[in-house]
Amino acid sequence: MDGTEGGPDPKLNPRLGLELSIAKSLNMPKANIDTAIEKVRR
Amino acid sequence: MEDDDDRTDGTDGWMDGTDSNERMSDVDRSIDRYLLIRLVAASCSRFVILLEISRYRLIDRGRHQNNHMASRYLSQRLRSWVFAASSTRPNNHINIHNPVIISNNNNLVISACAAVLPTCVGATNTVLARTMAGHSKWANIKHRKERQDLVRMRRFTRCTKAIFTAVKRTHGHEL
Repeated sequence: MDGTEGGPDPKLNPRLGLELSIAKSLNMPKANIDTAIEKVRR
Repeated sequence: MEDDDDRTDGTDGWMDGTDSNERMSDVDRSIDRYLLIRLVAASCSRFVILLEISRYRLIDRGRHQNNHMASRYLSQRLRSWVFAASSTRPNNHINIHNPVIISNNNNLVISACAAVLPTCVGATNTVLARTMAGHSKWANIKHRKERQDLVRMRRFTRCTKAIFTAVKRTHGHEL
Protein backbone atom coordinates (compact mmCIF):
# COMPACT_ATOMS: atom_id res chain seq x y z
CA MET A 1 0.00 0.00 0.00
CA ASP A 2 1.35 3.38 -0.88
CA GLY A 3 -0.62 5.20 1.75
CA THR A 4 -2.74 7.21 -0.68
CA GLU A 5 -6.46 7.17 -0.36
CA GLY A 6 -9.02 7.56 -3.03
CA GLY A 7 -11.87 9.96 -3.18
CA PRO A 8 -13.17 12.76 -5.30
CA ASP A 9 -11.46 15.50 -3.35
CA PRO A 10 -8.06 16.38 -4.83
CA LYS A 11 -6.93 17.89 -1.51
CA LEU A 12 -7.31 14.55 0.20
CA ASN A 13 -6.31 12.54 -2.83
CA PRO A 14 -2.88 13.67 -4.07
CA ARG A 15 -2.90 11.25 -6.94
CA LEU A 16 -6.18 12.70 -8.17
CA GLY A 17 -4.67 16.15 -7.83
CA LEU A 18 -1.75 15.05 -9.99
CA GLU A 19 -4.07 13.62 -12.64
CA LEU A 20 -6.19 16.75 -12.59
CA SER A 21 -3.13 18.91 -13.11
CA ILE A 22 -2.13 16.75 -16.08
CA ALA A 23 -5.63 17.00 -17.48
CA LYS A 24 -5.56 20.74 -17.01
CA SER A 25 -2.28 20.99 -18.85
CA LEU A 26 -3.86 19.13 -21.78
CA ASN A 27 -6.78 21.58 -21.85
CA MET A 28 -9.22 18.86 -20.98
CA PRO A 29 -12.73 20.22 -20.54
CA LYS A 30 -13.93 20.51 -16.97
CA ALA A 31 -17.13 18.73 -17.89
CA ASN A 32 -15.15 15.63 -18.85
CA ILE A 33 -13.31 15.66 -15.54
CA ASP A 34 -16.53 16.06 -13.58
CA THR A 35 -18.16 13.31 -15.59
CA ALA A 36 -15.28 10.94 -14.86
CA ILE A 37 -15.44 11.65 -11.12
CA GLU A 38 -19.20 11.39 -11.00
CA LYS A 39 -19.10 8.12 -12.87
CA VAL A 40 -16.96 6.60 -10.10
CA ARG A 41 -19.15 8.00 -7.37
CA ARG A 42 -22.21 6.50 -8.95
CA MET B 1 -49.36 9.69 -106.56
CA GLU B 2 -45.84 8.94 -105.50
CA ASP B 3 -44.07 11.11 -102.98
CA ASP B 4 -40.37 11.53 -103.66
CA ASP B 5 -39.54 12.30 -100.05
CA ASP B 6 -41.21 9.24 -98.71
CA ARG B 7 -38.60 6.51 -98.21
CA THR B 8 -39.90 3.01 -98.52
CA ASP B 9 -36.71 1.29 -97.44
CA GLY B 10 -37.01 2.37 -93.86
CA THR B 11 -33.87 4.48 -93.85
CA ASP B 12 -33.83 8.15 -93.19
CA GLY B 13 -31.16 9.41 -95.53
CA TRP B 14 -28.67 9.92 -92.71
CA MET B 15 -27.77 6.31 -92.60
CA ASP B 16 -27.81 5.50 -96.29
CA GLY B 17 -26.06 8.72 -97.24
CA THR B 18 -28.47 9.80 -99.96
CA ASP B 19 -28.88 13.25 -98.46
CA SER B 20 -25.52 14.98 -98.73
CA ASN B 21 -26.60 17.94 -96.61
CA GLU B 22 -27.28 15.78 -93.59
CA ARG B 23 -24.41 13.43 -93.94
CA MET B 24 -21.18 14.21 -92.14
CA SER B 25 -17.93 13.25 -93.71
CA ASP B 26 -14.78 12.42 -91.86
CA VAL B 27 -13.57 15.94 -92.48
CA ASP B 28 -16.67 17.35 -90.82
CA ARG B 29 -16.15 15.07 -87.88
CA SER B 30 -12.58 16.17 -87.49
CA ILE B 31 -13.65 19.77 -87.74
CA ASP B 32 -16.23 19.21 -85.06
CA ARG B 33 -13.70 17.55 -82.85
CA TYR B 34 -11.25 20.37 -83.40
CA LEU B 35 -13.97 22.90 -82.75
CA LEU B 36 -14.96 21.16 -79.58
CA ILE B 37 -11.43 21.14 -78.26
CA ARG B 38 -10.88 24.74 -79.25
CA LEU B 39 -14.08 25.86 -77.61
CA VAL B 40 -13.29 24.08 -74.42
CA ALA B 41 -9.74 25.35 -74.41
CA ALA B 42 -10.83 28.90 -75.16
CA SER B 43 -13.52 28.98 -72.56
CA CYS B 44 -11.71 27.10 -69.86
CA SER B 45 -8.10 28.09 -70.00
CA ARG B 46 -7.44 26.62 -66.56
CA PHE B 47 -8.56 23.22 -67.65
CA VAL B 48 -6.54 20.33 -68.84
CA ILE B 49 -8.25 18.38 -71.56
CA LEU B 50 -7.75 14.68 -71.64
CA LEU B 51 -8.98 13.24 -74.88
CA GLU B 52 -9.87 9.68 -74.19
CA ILE B 53 -11.18 7.03 -76.48
CA SER B 54 -14.67 7.16 -75.18
CA ARG B 55 -15.12 10.61 -73.73
CA TYR B 56 -13.76 14.02 -73.07
CA ARG B 57 -12.79 14.61 -69.53
CA LEU B 58 -12.14 18.03 -68.16
CA ILE B 59 -10.05 18.02 -65.03
CA ASP B 60 -7.97 20.29 -62.87
CA ARG B 61 -10.20 23.11 -61.89
CA GLY B 62 -7.32 24.68 -60.02
CA ARG B 63 -7.31 26.06 -56.55
CA HIS B 64 -10.50 28.03 -56.75
CA GLN B 65 -11.61 29.20 -53.38
CA ASN B 66 -15.22 29.04 -54.35
CA ASN B 67 -15.82 25.80 -56.13
CA HIS B 68 -19.48 26.45 -56.50
CA MET B 69 -18.79 29.59 -58.49
CA ALA B 70 -16.31 27.68 -60.60
CA SER B 71 -18.94 25.06 -61.31
CA ARG B 72 -21.42 27.69 -62.34
CA TYR B 73 -18.85 29.32 -64.56
CA LEU B 74 -18.03 26.02 -66.17
CA SER B 75 -21.69 25.27 -66.64
CA GLN B 76 -22.27 28.57 -68.42
CA ARG B 77 -19.26 28.17 -70.63
CA LEU B 78 -20.14 24.64 -71.60
CA ARG B 79 -23.66 25.72 -72.39
CA SER B 80 -22.29 28.45 -74.62
CA TRP B 81 -20.03 26.16 -76.58
CA VAL B 82 -22.78 23.65 -77.03
CA PHE B 83 -24.81 26.37 -78.66
CA ALA B 84 -21.79 27.48 -80.65
CA ALA B 85 -21.26 23.98 -81.93
CA SER B 86 -24.87 23.77 -82.96
CA SER B 87 -24.77 27.11 -84.73
CA THR B 88 -21.84 26.04 -86.87
CA ARG B 89 -23.90 23.27 -88.35
CA PRO B 90 -27.24 24.76 -89.34
CA ASN B 91 -28.15 21.77 -91.45
CA ASN B 92 -27.44 19.37 -88.69
CA HIS B 93 -30.37 17.08 -88.23
CA ILE B 94 -29.65 16.80 -84.51
CA ASN B 95 -31.51 19.17 -82.30
CA ILE B 96 -29.26 20.61 -79.62
CA HIS B 97 -31.15 23.81 -79.01
CA ASN B 98 -32.12 22.76 -75.54
CA PRO B 99 -29.08 21.41 -73.79
CA VAL B 100 -29.69 19.84 -70.43
CA ILE B 101 -26.87 20.24 -67.98
CA ILE B 102 -27.00 18.07 -64.92
CA SER B 103 -24.65 19.33 -62.29
CA ASN B 104 -23.72 18.72 -58.72
CA ASN B 105 -20.76 19.81 -56.66
CA ASN B 106 -18.19 17.69 -58.41
CA ASN B 107 -19.53 16.61 -61.74
CA LEU B 108 -21.06 18.20 -64.75
CA VAL B 109 -22.74 15.87 -67.16
CA ILE B 110 -24.04 17.45 -70.27
CA SER B 111 -26.64 15.25 -71.72
CA ALA B 112 -27.23 17.61 -74.58
CA CYS B 113 -23.80 16.82 -75.88
CA ALA B 114 -25.12 13.43 -76.73
CA ALA B 115 -26.34 15.19 -79.82
CA VAL B 116 -22.99 16.68 -80.70
CA LEU B 117 -20.53 14.13 -79.58
CA PRO B 118 -21.66 11.15 -81.67
CA THR B 119 -20.43 13.12 -84.62
CA CYS B 120 -17.20 13.89 -82.82
CA VAL B 121 -16.16 10.93 -80.80
CA GLY B 122 -18.28 8.14 -82.06
CA ALA B 123 -20.14 6.34 -79.35
CA THR B 124 -19.71 8.97 -76.71
CA ASN B 125 -22.93 10.42 -75.46
CA THR B 126 -21.86 12.47 -72.48
CA VAL B 127 -19.23 14.96 -71.53
CA LEU B 128 -17.98 14.46 -68.04
CA ALA B 129 -16.35 17.39 -66.33
CA ARG B 130 -14.84 16.24 -63.10
CA THR B 131 -12.77 18.26 -60.71
CA MET B 132 -9.43 16.99 -59.55
CA ALA B 133 -9.36 15.54 -56.09
CA GLY B 134 -7.44 17.14 -53.29
CA HIS B 135 -8.31 20.73 -53.99
CA SER B 136 -11.20 21.18 -51.67
CA LYS B 137 -10.57 23.61 -48.85
CA TRP B 138 -13.24 22.23 -46.56
CA ALA B 139 -12.24 18.64 -47.17
CA ASN B 140 -8.69 19.53 -46.22
CA ILE B 141 -9.94 21.16 -43.02
CA LYS B 142 -12.07 18.13 -42.32
CA HIS B 143 -9.21 15.70 -42.74
CA ARG B 144 -6.83 17.78 -40.61
CA LYS B 145 -9.42 18.21 -37.90
CA GLU B 146 -10.13 14.51 -37.90
CA ARG B 147 -6.51 13.75 -37.07
CA GLN B 148 -6.32 16.47 -34.44
CA ASP B 149 -9.53 15.34 -32.78
CA LEU B 150 -8.36 11.74 -32.77
CA VAL B 151 -5.15 12.64 -30.95
CA ARG B 152 -7.01 14.82 -28.46
CA MET B 153 -9.62 12.14 -27.88
CA ARG B 154 -6.92 9.61 -27.03
CA ARG B 155 -5.27 12.00 -24.58
CA PHE B 156 -8.56 12.76 -22.89
CA THR B 157 -9.40 9.08 -22.69
CA ARG B 158 -6.10 8.36 -20.96
CA CYS B 159 -6.69 11.21 -18.54
CA THR B 160 -10.22 10.05 -17.83
CA LYS B 161 -9.03 6.54 -17.07
CA ALA B 162 -6.29 7.92 -14.80
CA ILE B 163 -8.80 10.07 -12.92
CA PHE B 164 -11.13 7.12 -12.70
CA THR B 165 -8.39 4.99 -11.19
CA ALA B 166 -7.25 7.71 -8.80
CA VAL B 167 -10.71 8.25 -7.42
CA LYS B 168 -11.38 4.57 -7.18
CA ARG B 169 -8.33 3.80 -5.03
CA THR B 170 -10.43 3.61 -1.96
CA HIS B 171 -8.50 1.34 0.39
CA GLY B 172 -11.48 1.18 2.61
CA HIS B 173 -12.58 4.71 1.87
CA GLU B 174 -16.28 4.91 1.13
CA LEU B 175 -17.28 6.54 -2.05
